[in-house]
Amino acid sequence: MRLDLLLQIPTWEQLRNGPWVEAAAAIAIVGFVLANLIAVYAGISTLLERKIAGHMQSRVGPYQVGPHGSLQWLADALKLLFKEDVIPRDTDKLLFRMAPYVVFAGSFAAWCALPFMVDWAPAFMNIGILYILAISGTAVVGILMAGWSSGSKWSLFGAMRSAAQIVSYEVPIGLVLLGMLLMYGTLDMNAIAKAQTQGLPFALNPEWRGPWYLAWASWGVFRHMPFTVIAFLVYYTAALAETNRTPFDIPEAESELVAGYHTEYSGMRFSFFFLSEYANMFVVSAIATTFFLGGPLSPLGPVMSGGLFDVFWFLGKAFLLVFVMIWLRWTLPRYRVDQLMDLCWKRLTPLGFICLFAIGLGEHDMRVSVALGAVTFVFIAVVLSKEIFASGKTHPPLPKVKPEAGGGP
Amino acid sequence: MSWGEIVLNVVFYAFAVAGIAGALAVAVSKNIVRSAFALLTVLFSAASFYAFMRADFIFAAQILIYVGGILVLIIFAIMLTHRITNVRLSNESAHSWGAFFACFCVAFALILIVATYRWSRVEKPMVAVVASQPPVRLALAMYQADGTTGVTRGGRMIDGHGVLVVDAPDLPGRMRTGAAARIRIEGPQTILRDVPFEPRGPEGHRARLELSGLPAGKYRWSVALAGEEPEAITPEVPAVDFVAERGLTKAIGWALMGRYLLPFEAVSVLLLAALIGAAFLARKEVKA
Amino acid sequence: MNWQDYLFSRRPLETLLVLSAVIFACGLYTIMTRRNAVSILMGVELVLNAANINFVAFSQYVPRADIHGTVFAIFVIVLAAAEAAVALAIIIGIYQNFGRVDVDQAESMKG
Repeated sequence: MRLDLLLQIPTWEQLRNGPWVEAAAAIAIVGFVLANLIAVYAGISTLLERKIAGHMQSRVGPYQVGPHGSLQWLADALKLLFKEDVIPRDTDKLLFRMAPYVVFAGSFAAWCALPFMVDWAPAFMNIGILYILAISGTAVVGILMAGWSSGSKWSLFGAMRSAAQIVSYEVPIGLVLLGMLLMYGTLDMNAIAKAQTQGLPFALNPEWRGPWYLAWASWGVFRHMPFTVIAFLVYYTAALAETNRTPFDIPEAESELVAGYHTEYSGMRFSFFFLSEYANMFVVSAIATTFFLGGPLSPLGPVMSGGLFDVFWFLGKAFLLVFVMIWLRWTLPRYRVDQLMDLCWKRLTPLGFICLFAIGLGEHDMRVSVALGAVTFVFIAVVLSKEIFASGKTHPPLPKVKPEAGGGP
Repeated sequence: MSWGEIVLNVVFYAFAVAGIAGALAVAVSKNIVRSAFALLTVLFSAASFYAFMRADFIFAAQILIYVGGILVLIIFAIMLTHRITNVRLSNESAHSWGAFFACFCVAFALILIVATYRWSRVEKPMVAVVASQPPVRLALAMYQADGTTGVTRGGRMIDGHGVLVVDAPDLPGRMRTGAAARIRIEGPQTILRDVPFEPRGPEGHRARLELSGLPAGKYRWSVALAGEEPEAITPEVPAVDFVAERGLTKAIGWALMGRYLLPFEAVSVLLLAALIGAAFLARKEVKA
Repeated sequence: MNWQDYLFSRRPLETLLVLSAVIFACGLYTIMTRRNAVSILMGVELVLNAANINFVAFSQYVPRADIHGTVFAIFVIVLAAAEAAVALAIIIGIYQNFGRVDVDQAESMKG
């Protein structure tokens, strides 16, 4: 891996102030740009989340600061900055102070390998996706650190739940991404995105470059049809759990655990957990975008592509997925812990294995891909139609509860 | 020395200090959970060393498996085997000067060996005789980008950065001024360049060609004196002189699926056994 | 070569070997002095990491070693994962039987 991010800013070479000054300046600039990018993104996302939630519940959301409340996020950030930083007495001070930064660093460092443009990422990495998965997985340790050092049982339970959940859901994520990697044959995020400029579904013709209005047909999600779509859904579900979002927000369940592993945190330290949650949401959405939805590629082929259009498409697709996450939060109820583990190990992991196996077969021979796809489509159609036609009639009758005399609230 | 290198070095030494501090904390910390989190810094520093050695795949595997897997396991084990609500969990250690002395001696001996032994960094240079008039003996060697680590014949040139060196121990007198080596590189990118010889005191003359950013693939190189057609280094024509690579992943993949296939399968069986064994040991006794 | 040039040239092989030697010694000290089984396991991880740094360093800096050291490092990482899983399962088993995990407490199998 090369730290190209640091090595490829050419203009500072011309300053000739001696390499030390330039080195310090480069570090400052890179840190400043990335930190601000992520802070602004997270701030705007919190505002959007509140606005969307408001409109979904027939409210207006924040409305006071700025036109339509559009500057609320700045006010929130200022409030968090100036809030008193409370450190409870029964904490391990050192670990308590460090934990937010460990969590934040984990989700923050993943950003530099995302392919924001075709052939451009902040850091060109041969092992792109592996790096992102590895580095964002370190947030678990920070979460355990926060939960344990808080010296509060709510924090500890939240942290243990969160760690168990994240570690478990890495398995289906790894499996479906492995299946997609069989198609691309590289770990480099830029190469993965570029591999989706050509090719037909079912691997019929890997060299195909269609008319501009069919360019989206080459995206990874259409490659081996039912299986890649299933892989996408499995990935997205597991990613929701990975980022502790509803319906899998068991670690932060307000009604059970106050606020999970960051119960004891306040002020700026709390906001670091907040930033890292939103940064993580973007990272998992960006991975889904790159693997399944063509990354920075325009859905219209050469039309509206190149330069800032790439950034537009990449951010647009990723934000669409982030929006769906927010949408789901205000739509679905929370899972129980046992249901969560059941879903991971008994549903998503076998589905991941099936996808891996089927995509492998399909890449081996396109006829197998077509045949498997057809059979699976018929199977899914039969199952779905049965479900749909049966659903009206066979609701199990509600159990009759006899009210006991004088008992019960 | 460019500013990029300064940044890399500062980062390297920061990680080195963090790694040693973390290892010491694991060894002597009074609090077992702090020991576990100190292990985090050691694992991260080790990963960063891999990155500095440009072993990118190992870097990712280290973080993915050690930090995301083993460390989380260890922390879970600590929390399952202690009264977790107590923040100040003690970590008794039978501190003894004997153990300290033994470890100090081990470290001292290791560092002594490392400092005094001359590690073989460089392949024995290949010798070619260039058929000019009169014939000139040339010694050819390949180095990684740092200029001190050699590349084996047919070996990997990491990230496509490297240095090709042509030594001429006995350049004829009339050729000593203005002589140049003509180096030709064939592969995914073809390069033909005249590199002037520079005097190296009693060791003759040397020409150095720095390569950077070669596209990945297999390369051959050949050399002659300037003004003549380059010829193959050795009479028996090798398939490959060096392989430019971007990252280690591909090489590791080939090694695991080729020469190391049997160990790879054995490890997979062992992992399955460990999975079943751990599940068996840690399960709750079901009362019949 | 003055010290600045030495410090800021590319890291030579020796620097990495010295670092790994220090980490190795710390791991050894942990294994020798700790009573807690989990701590001893952490010491073992330190030792394995030190060995791994050496494997990769030789693989990258000694031309003859080529890719083999790196592949070995991968096997070490995988085996360390398996070892940690089994060892921690055993430790939890000991905790359930003895109520603590100090290695000198679990002596009922002593002959």
